[in-house]
Amino acid sequence: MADNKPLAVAAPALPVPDDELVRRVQAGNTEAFEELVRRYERKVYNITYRLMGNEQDASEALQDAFLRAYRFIGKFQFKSSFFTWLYRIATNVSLSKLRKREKVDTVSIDQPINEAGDLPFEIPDVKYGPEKMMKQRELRAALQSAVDALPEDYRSVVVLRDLEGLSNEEVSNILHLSVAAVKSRLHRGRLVLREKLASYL
Amino acid sequence: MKKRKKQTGECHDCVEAEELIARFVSGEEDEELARQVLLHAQSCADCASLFRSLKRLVHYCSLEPTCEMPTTVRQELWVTIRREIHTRQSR
Repeated sequence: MADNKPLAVAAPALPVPDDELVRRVQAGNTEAFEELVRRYERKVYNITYRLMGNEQDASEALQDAFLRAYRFIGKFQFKSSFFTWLYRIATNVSLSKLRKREKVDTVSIDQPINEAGDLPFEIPDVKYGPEKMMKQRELRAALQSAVDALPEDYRSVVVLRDLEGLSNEEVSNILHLSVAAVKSRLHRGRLVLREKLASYL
Repeated sequence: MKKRKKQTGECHDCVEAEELIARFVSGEEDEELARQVLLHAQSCADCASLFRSLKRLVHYCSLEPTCEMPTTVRQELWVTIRREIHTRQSR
């Protein structure tokens, strides 16, 4: 016989806010830190990958960023959001590694913008499925290579604003820049990318 | 608009137009801004080209998918995190 009693459905638990998790970590709760890592590991990996341009360096920067966050979370004063603070650490770690890397491996911004160095730029043809997919892959690789070749000041802004979709205000908080400086660097960075990717645009 | 001669072509209003284009492609799409950009772009091939290409660039960037974090990268991260937690707890 059918039971017509309404089903008791447990309301889904609301996620614990970041600030609360941070307070718990500061009080010694390591599980709260693991939750923060789970919450942001992909986003932070995206930032480190976009800034570093390859998996191995991105992986190292990712680990360093979370290690630093863990070591210094006791000093977090809630003056910004946790993610702004974390993204700032990830960006700084990545840029610092980039500077070290570039000292030993100077890359010219005129270098061909793909790893193989021999893929011609072609205008994506949207008519054919597989062809379109191939062109999209090619464009994606070209875009990442062009971002890799950007000067550091432009790269961090372009990555955070255009690739990660953060607002000018968020980028300004993460990079400790004025919003006007973010806009200016963003535009200059885009102009460089435009030149590098001319045949795609 | 400020007057300046561009390096190529006859356009005189391009300095300010570039600023407007930069704002427009960044999402500040109010009607007056759009009107000014389009008005200028109609009479200046260089700025029309700049506008089109920056719009496409920003669009392509916005379509970029989130990078998948490889399993090995994730595993290494968690080994590092747990080692750090363990080290600090055992102090």
